[in-house]
Amino acid sequence: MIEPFFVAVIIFLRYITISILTFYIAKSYHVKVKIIIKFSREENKMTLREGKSGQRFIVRAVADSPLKNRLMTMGLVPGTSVTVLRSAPLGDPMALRVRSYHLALRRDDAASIEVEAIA
Amino acid sequence: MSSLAVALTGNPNTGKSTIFNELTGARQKIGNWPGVTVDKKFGYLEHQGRHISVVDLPGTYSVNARSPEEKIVIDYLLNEKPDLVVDVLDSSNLERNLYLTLQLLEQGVPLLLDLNMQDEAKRHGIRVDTEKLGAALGMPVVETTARSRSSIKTLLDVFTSTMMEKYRPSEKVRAHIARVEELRASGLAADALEEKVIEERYAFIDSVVSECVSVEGTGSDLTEKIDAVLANGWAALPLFLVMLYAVFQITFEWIGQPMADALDDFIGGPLTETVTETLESWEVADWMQSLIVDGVIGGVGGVLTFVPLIFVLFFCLSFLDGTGYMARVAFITDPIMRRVGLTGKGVMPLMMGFGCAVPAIMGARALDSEKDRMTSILVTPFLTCGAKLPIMALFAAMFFPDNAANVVFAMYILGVLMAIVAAKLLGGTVFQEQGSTFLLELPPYRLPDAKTVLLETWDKCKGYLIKAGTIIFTMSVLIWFLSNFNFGGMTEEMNESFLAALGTGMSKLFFFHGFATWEAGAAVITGILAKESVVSTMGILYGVGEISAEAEDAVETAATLMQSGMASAFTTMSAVAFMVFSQLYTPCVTALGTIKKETGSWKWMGFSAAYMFAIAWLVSLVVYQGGRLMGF
Ligand SMILES: Nc1nc2c(ncn2[C@@H]2O[C@H](COP(=O)(O)OP(=O)(O)OP(=O)(O)O)[C@@H](O)[C@H]2O)c(=O)[nH]1
Ligand SMILES: [Mg+2]
Repeated sequence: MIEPFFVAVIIFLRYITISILTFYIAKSYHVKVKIIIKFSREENKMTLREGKSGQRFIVRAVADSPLKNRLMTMGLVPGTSVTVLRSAPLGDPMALRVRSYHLALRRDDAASIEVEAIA
Repeated sequence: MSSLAVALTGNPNTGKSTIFNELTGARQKIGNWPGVTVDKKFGYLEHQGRHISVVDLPGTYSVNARSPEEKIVIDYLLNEKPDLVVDVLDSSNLERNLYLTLQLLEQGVPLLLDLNMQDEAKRHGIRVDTEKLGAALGMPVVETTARSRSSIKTLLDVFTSTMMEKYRPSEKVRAHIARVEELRASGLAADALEEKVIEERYAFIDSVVSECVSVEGTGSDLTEKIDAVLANGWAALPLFLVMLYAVFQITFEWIGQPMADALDDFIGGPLTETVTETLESWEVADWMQSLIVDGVIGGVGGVLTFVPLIFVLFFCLSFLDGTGYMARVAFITDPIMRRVGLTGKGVMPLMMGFGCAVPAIMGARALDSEKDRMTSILVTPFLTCGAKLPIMALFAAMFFPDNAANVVFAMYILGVLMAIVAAKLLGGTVFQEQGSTFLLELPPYRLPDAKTVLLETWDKCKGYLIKAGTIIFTMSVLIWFLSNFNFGGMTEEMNESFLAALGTGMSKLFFFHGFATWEAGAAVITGILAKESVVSTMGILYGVGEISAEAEDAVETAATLMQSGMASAFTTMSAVAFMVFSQLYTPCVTALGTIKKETGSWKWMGFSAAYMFAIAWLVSLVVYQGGRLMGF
């Protein structure tokens, strides 16, 4: 008597697991698609968003964004060198060394900072 | 006697409040993270026969009057025109610090440059040529280490001997100002203009710094090494939990609780006995004896026993605050906070909520967007403030004698989770479509200043003691009166008292929560006036103080308490429900008043009171009924 009930529960659980997985795969795929488009459009322009721990960059320009003024006030003006120090859990936000202090910001906001890698 | 008005300004976290406290003997909050001070604060002193008034201003990176703090600073400097404006700078980080300096010089504000944190600059091998810097800007320069007495003495002498009228911006600065003026006149669009001006300023600063600052062998950077462990990727979050858990173990197991138990034994035992005997030998009227022993000792004493816990907890929190770890907590929790629509930066004012919701609500001013600030204000009271701590500690010790620290820890976590959930809900409904940002300076790790930590802890305890002596005392007398009288005069039966009538009304709401007693109802009502009153009300109504008299140690105390009226009024499960409810319900009137002030609206205050009551009611109901279903 009780068996069909268990089967139903298991099917239900499997259904939920699969939907969650599908959702996340779709989501990450979506993100990738977006990034690819970005790369192909602005081929030779790199932003701080893609910076990895230990890399050093020179700021080239700061694009228009609500944070632009504040970023520049904090010393991120063209010609300044920045080092990516580390990332928080899940890779975002990131910590930078700028002009002898440490600054944390989100990668979405770092996307407005155009940089050039230095060896 | 002539007077002198001094203003302290500068970037966040450069030591302004430390200097202010040393100068005036005030107790401004000091912490090693940017944005501690959010409002101006005045202090007074006398030196060499002069009255000196000092104002501590919030730290800002610039003065564009975009944020409330920036507005406070620039309005004060331009409108009040203090005799002496001191620009406090972090000597190891001059480049960014000089940005504000330059902006103020452009505005025509003469400055005394204070190169603070000399000890750290020396350690990093950073040398600033003060003569050259003074000449480059045309302003007087002084060096200090804010934590040292002798530095402060020097600073005072400089205050009284400096004639600001003698100083004019240097040729170089005037040339810079002319260039900025030229740019402004060139008819560029506002955005492009601002960008050009900022670049111009940094170009100026770079040339000054290359002239005046030399760095010799930085050596190894301790901050980098610590951050590689504490603020790096996945491991950072579990480490944060371990850190919090350790604070709880110290407070509720190792140091705080044993001290609290000893005090409890003393108040419940020798003190109560002596007072009772004395009163009897003086043949004091019965009602007066009852008022003193049951009302005052039961109520105020019940609250006093928690002073050791408060002391130890705040010592730990204040210590953490001084290390610079708080800014890292903001950094590593931002991924979580962002997903609920907040910002990691909100963690720093939120952590203040473990002390008291009032400064925490005000501290939310340091957040960047209006949405972040409002959400933070509305969720802060969910946290376990110092006044809720006794409720948790009392119930945990009574109903979970073997696991008290863990149960209290769970309650703290519940408060945090509820704050997060509420933020998510508010973000999804009330404050839609407003983005939040995260831009935060991570200060270097520092060894907390022992004096600061001890004074701050002492102030917290003093505040608690004063509250116990005033509000809680008055309330205890009131509660004693209400619980011993009814319309017919004094009554032997508490169940027929005024308070019983009031409490019964309230307790109707908790029929399905397992604590529908009038005592609990009364405690809930008094808790809205001050959360400490929940415990003092219980103390008076159940005579907790007397019962613990014979106990020898914590476990025994709890065991004895189990036989008291309070223990039989609650089951384990309804005790949990009561803890959950007290953790989450309506903030005390002081906090409500602060919410009104900070949001500027009665509507938000009312909303806060109502939605927290509703959430508390619901969650504790679910906990109680859920627990019962699971067979507890
Ligand atoms: N080593 C060292 N530490 C200092 C000195 N002055 C201040 N500090 C520490 O620097 C940190 C910041 O000090 P605060 O006085 O709170 O700084 P503030 O300028 O008031 O900061 P905001 O209120 O955020 O603008 C604290 O941890 C102080 O103990 C100093 O001269 N040397
Ligand atoms: Mg301050």
